Amino acid sequence: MLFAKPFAELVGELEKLPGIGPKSAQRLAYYLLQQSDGQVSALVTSIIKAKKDLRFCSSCQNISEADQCPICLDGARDQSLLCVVAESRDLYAIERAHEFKGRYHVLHGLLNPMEGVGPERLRVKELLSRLESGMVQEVILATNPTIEGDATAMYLAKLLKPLGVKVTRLAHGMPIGGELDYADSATLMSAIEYRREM
Amino acid sequence: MIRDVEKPTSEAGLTLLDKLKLLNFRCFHHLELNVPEGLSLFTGQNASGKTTLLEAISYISTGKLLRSHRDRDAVRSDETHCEVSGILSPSQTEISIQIPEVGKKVASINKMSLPKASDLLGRLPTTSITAFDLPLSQGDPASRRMFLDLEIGALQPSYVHKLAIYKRALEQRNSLLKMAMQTVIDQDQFEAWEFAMAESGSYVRQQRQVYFAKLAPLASSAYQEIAKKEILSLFLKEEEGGLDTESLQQAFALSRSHDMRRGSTSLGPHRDDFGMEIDGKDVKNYGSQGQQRSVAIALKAGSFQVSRETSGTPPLLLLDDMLSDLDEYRRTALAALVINQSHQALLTCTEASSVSNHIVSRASELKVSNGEVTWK
Ligand SMILES: Nc1ncnc2c1ncn2[C@@H]1O[C@H](COP(=O)(O)OP(=O)(O)OP(=O)(O)O)[C@@H](O)[C@H]1O
Ligand SMILES: [Mg+2]
Ligand SMILES: [Zn+2]
Repeated sequence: MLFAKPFAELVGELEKLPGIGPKSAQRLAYYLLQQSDGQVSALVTSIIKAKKDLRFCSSCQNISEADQCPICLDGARDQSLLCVVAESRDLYAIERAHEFKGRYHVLHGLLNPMEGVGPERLRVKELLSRLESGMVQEVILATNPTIEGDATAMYLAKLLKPLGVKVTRLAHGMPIGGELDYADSATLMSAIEYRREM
Repeated sequence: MIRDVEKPTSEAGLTLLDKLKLLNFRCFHHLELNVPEGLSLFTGQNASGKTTLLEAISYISTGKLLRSHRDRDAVRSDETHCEVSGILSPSQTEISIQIPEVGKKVASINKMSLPKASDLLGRLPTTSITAFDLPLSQGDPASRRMFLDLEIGALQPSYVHKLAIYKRALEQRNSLLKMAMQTVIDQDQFEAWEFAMAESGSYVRQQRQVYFAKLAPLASSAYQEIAKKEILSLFLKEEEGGLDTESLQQAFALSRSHDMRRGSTSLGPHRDDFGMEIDGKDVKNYGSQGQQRSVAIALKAGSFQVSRETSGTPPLLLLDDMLSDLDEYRRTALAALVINQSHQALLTCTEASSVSNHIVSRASELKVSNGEVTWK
């Protein structure tokens, strides 16, 4: 089947989005064509505005409206404690718990040679330069306990330790309120591996 | 995190296959079969679907097809998707694998999908003895590693998990090696992946050793039963880099520049193998066809015994047409080794007359033809 050229172009652009295959791209394109002009312009404007008005916070690299994000500007936050996460969504997950009072650093990804991602594609240089001031005393590596998350944490630990900061890793084990009987074997294994003395 | 309805249990006792349902699996369209307890004998002409039945059961047991690495090959050629499911007894748990029209196969338990098909391992322990086992004694090391991995994984779910970590970290290191052919890669990056490989790889090697130590004597004595005088010896080949995390990590680090030149990792659990000798002669390169066939059977019979001893109950036995190629003596020996030890065994052959009377007299007989199975 041959699409009209503008339609094919729209499908082509949508297909470049993550998680969108050819079929979904077509479905989205049809959907957009059925919307009113006003609705379509609202979408386009919001994309352009977001792209123009948002940037990465110059210190933590999280998405921000200003040069520095509210968390980094918050003087009540402990400057000696830095929590390193892979993505912004991990930062928000920790924030929701209202427990952590330090600051963050967002890597925007994890090491993944199979997908061509090395340290130069992550915000590693920015992390190192934040440690230069000597304010940070502890870096918590809060990447997910996946193979890539563990390898990235390992790699960062190797870089950070010689700088004289304390480097820690989030514990992993049994979920609170979870039952042993229902835990998958990977979780159980790591809970046993990282057991603590009582 | 993965939440399971039910864990495979070793002490909970015997698991039997109650019902088998096929939808568009190879030559079958629709099939619902009440699988008999005890011994059943499936007869049918060539290409009637006998092996396919055993393959379907093995598929929901291991998550892997017997005769192909591509799942889609099992979808009936005039259809777009297929499904195999089994109801286990006494739990009445349903295990199944679907191959959808698009995308990868999906394994489920009681209709709840599992993260990976290999998560089915251990729910319905089976031992299959088919012509597809011949690569064990004739083929390359990959088929022997896969045999060990499936057997250990069925007894120990954590093995599957560690092996998956190893394979993934290995792929990452191999990608890094290829990148290193073009640009300079800092050595800390290698170290991160090598650490993951060393940790999981050491676990994999240790578990393989433990398993092999049980398997080797049982498979050797199975061989002796089948082949009278000859002695089969089985041994793990040298595991370059050793068994513990530190020595493996060191070995990976040392092989880095060599591996960069070849663009892949030259040592580790993904290269391991075991050797097989009959009276001091290598089976793969010197064995007669009969010897090679008997070694493959002995390995499977050995794994049947290990599974029985480890879990306390014998696995479901799937014996495909192997009896007809053996002489009377070997048939009787094999029957004593495995058939008589199992609570549920499915045998196939083209004609019941090729199977010894004392098996036929005990078995439920079923006929396979035109995509249907009928009781005799
Ligand atoms: N994806 C598929 N779609 C349709 N038919 C298939 C498919 N895969 C295999 N078949 C066919 O299914 C038939 C049954 O094969 P199977 O190996 O089960 O036969 P069998 O009864 O074991 O025969 P034999 O006695 O020769 O070993 C064969 O004709 C085979 O070509
Ligand atoms: Mg067959
Ligand atoms: Zn910030």
